[in-house]
Amino acid sequence: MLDINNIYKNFGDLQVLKGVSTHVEKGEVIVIIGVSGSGKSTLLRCMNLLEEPTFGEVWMEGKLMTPPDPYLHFDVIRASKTYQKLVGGGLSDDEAIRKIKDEDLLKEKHPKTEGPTYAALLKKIYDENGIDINLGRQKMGMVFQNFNLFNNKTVLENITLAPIKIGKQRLKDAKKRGEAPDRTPDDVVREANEKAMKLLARIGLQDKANVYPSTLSGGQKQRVAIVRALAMEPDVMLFDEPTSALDPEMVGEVLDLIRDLVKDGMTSVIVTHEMGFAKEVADRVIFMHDGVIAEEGTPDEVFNHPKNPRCKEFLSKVLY
Amino acid sequence: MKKMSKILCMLLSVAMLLSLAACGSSASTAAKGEANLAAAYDKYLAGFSTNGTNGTLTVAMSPDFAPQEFYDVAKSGDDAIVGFDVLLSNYLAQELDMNLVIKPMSFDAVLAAVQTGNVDIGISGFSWTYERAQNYEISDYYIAGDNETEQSIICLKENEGKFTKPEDFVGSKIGYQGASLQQILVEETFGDLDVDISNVFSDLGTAVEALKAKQIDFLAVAHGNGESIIASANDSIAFTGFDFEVDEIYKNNVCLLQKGNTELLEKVNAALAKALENDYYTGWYDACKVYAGVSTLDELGFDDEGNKITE
Amino acid sequence: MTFLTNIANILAKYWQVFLIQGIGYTLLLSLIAVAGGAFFGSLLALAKRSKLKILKAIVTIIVEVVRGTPVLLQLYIGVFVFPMIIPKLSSMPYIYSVSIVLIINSSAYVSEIIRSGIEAVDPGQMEAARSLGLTHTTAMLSIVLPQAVKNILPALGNEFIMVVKETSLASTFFVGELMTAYLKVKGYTYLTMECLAIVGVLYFALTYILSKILKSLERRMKAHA
Repeated sequence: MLDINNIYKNFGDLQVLKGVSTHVEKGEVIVIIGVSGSGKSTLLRCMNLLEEPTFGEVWMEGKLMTPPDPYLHFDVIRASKTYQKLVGGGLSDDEAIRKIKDEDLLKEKHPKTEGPTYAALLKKIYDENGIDINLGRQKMGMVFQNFNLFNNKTVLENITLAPIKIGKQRLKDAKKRGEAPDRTPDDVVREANEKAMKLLARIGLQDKANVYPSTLSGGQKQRVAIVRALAMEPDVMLFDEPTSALDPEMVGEVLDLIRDLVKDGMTSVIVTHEMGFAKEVADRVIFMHDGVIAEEGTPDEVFNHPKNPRCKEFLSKVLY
Repeated sequence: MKKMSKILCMLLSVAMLLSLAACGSSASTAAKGEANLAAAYDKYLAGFSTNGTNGTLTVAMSPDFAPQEFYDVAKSGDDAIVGFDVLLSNYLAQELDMNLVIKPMSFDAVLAAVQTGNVDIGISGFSWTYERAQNYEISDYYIAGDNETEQSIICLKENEGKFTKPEDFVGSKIGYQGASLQQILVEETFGDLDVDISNVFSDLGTAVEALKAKQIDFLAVAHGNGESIIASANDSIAFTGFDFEVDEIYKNNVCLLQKGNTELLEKVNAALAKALENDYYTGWYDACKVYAGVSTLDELGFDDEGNKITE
Repeated sequence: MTFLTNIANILAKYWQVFLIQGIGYTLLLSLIAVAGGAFFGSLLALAKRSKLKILKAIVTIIVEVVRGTPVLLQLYIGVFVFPMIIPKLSSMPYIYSVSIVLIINSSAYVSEIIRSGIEAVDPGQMEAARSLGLTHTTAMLSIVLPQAVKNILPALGNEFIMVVKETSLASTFFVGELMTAYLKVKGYTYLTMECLAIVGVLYFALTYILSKILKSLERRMKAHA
């Protein structure tokens, strides 16, 4: 469902991600753990391109969300002038490709300088596979550490804003194609409101529909933020330390809601420090260290039989 | 709500002040004797005519200097700027057969306006100075009555008439307007004596306040300006009795033109020569003195309708 | 006492110059400057946030130069240099050039107000909107800008009050505002302190009333948040 290939992310001179690849299956629950600064949150934010990866590709349901990364496509490398020069200089195909990759020789920012075939190939890959970022993001719900509810909107408006804006746009496009002749924008609004009220009922906050977020408790805010993401009916949910900013007594209600979602089969990627919760819900646990995946496996493998010394050290500090 | 009503109260009181002031003014404009201040001036002004065949003549002046150029707030628009230099401008426009546009601005800005060619002429009571002659085309002289020919020093009333020669001023502070003829005269006259001549003012009004506040003992002014100042100061100020010896080149006013604009300069000089020959200036200047409230019509030989009485 | 009598006499005779023309032109110029400044300032703020580096650089230079030079100097340039570039201006009264300068000046300040107002909105708000699949424009219009306005409006009010005082410099070209009224009347009466006192009280009344009105507007806006 969600593929990330060889993701690098630099902030200026600081390398935060140094080549991360993983694959998220439909219905799978992945928990990412690791010390602060290990790149877990950055990895999550690269998945829906809130951070644009410096190198690497993100594929959502078979569609490419990032620009194509020339280093990941051998045929593209072979079409480049740099490659031809190296091979002309006597290197074998294998050696040339390795040298280009290791030494970052492609001038990927200026595709024209690598010759027309190279540029055309890159364009072809994107034309065939590329997807509008906004479309891709609509399939991914994101929950933030600091909730990020819209301060200028009521709870209900927070939930319905995106479904209404995007629903109306989709309806307009459909009408242009001659589809959905009977649906009106008012239907979109009505349906969005009905669905939002149902979601609020699910978390028991119907009576808060018309208040502003500033009046809610932290736990309530985060639960609203979760159903706001759910209102877009995403295929995968990304949780970025959803309980880190909460008072301890409110952690439970938020974890309960996530647990419910996961039980209903929601594909999820969760960055968290709640190890007990991770053990309980995860199908797969990823331990990040220094910008790479240092350990990966089932909760039993990672928590009970860690192989990586860094992972052991980390777990010994957080589990007691 | 309480706050809003407070604000409303404030707005109302301002409105009341306005209406009070309105009542006051209707009474004062009707007051006798003031109505014909402009009579002689208006007669002269009405005498000028032009067809505007040669385009527009733009004149820059700094109208905060009665009686040379000032505002008559009872008039509106461009007519509100009045004074001797306005009559001269109208005369020049007539002689050059051009339409007149007067652009008011500060004294410094007049120089900039002429230099950049934004206006054709600067007529604002300019005296000839060496520096100005370097950077501008300067017209022949015109005579703004006794305003420039007599340069005097004013003081507080109690010192009236006690100072008549330069040595009398030793140990005192004399003020003057910067970049003016008075500055040159003060420096020439008192430069070698033990007189504090470091009191430069950017405008005459401020200098008068300094005199009243005794920050300076004396103020060097053109005689005409001095009369205006004394007239509006309820006689708390008077002439010292000392008059400067004024060099011939400083005695009169000149017009400034942009450097190189000799074509217009020649026409202006021709018109000025004609005015001098026919002695237009005295009448104009007397009319402006009446207008500025320095003298009355009667004193300067006008009848009540503003006609000059000729023997 | 003579001081007060003089003031009373001046007001009785010249109240229209101060209260009608003076205040009228001061408010008119301030309104033009701030309204124009708000419009062009928004454009400048947008340009400054744009990805085009050249545009960004040009706008930065304009804003810095305008904010780093005195208004009086800008007025001189506006009145004497603009007509060389736009010949049509030379036949128009100075108030047009003066207005243009005031608009440019206020645009530079307002653009900074808007920029910092937008930057003061928690970046998480934009991220949350983008993560839902909303476009940058939609997120900006429905989430960030409405919140930025709450930061911007009070600062814009202050700018208005600043501009009311700055219009006084336009008196260099006798455009008719309060300070011109002072020049006109004291040029005739030579009663400098009296005229200054009148103008000073009027400026203070203007800015005081304006700031009270703005404060009450601010309170109302906060009540709705």
